[in-house]
Amino acid sequence: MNLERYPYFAKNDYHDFEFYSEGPNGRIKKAVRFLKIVDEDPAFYNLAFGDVSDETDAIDDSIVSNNNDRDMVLATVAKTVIDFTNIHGNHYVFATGSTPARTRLYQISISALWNEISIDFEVLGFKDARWESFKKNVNYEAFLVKRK
Amino acid sequence: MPTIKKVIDEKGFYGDAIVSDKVKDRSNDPYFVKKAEEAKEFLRKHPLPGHLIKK
Repeated sequence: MNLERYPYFAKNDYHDFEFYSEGPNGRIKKAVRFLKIVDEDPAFYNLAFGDVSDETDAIDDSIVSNNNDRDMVLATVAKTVIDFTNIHGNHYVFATGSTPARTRLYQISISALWNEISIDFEVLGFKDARWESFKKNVNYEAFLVKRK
Repeated sequence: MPTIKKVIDEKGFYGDAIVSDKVKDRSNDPYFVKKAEEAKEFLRKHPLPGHLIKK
């Protein structure tokens, strides 16, 4: 996957990643965390990411950064999935937005980057009470990602 | 003093991430914990069917 992305940093256990979004609203710290949610074979991890509050150093999901770099942010997060699965094994990674609007933004970004993303990942979407292979222009409630 | 280094994964490839001890452990961050609990509940209600599971 050769999409433009930000340089990013990992904690040495490769569950936590950080990078900086840069754009018209300044330099915004982003954090990504993989947390195991199903401890079976195959295992499932939740991928969550958000903006780090300057004031509390905690994740603040109310921030709307609008830094005009959505695809670059998603490409960077996708790279963390590659690093995470390189280290921890090819597990399923679950992702959904903090709101339906944000989940829809993920769907739009995945669609826009599909030619690149589909090289490395199998993506499933959840819609109408069932999981299916990801299709462009379908609004999903959640996503499952696995390295090919 | 913080250390920054690139690491080689078990397959012998350089990972793209830069390992840094400045990166915070956020396993107890309330937002991430809440998201993980929601995800766990979602998958409990809507498990991936066996025919779609690849090991």
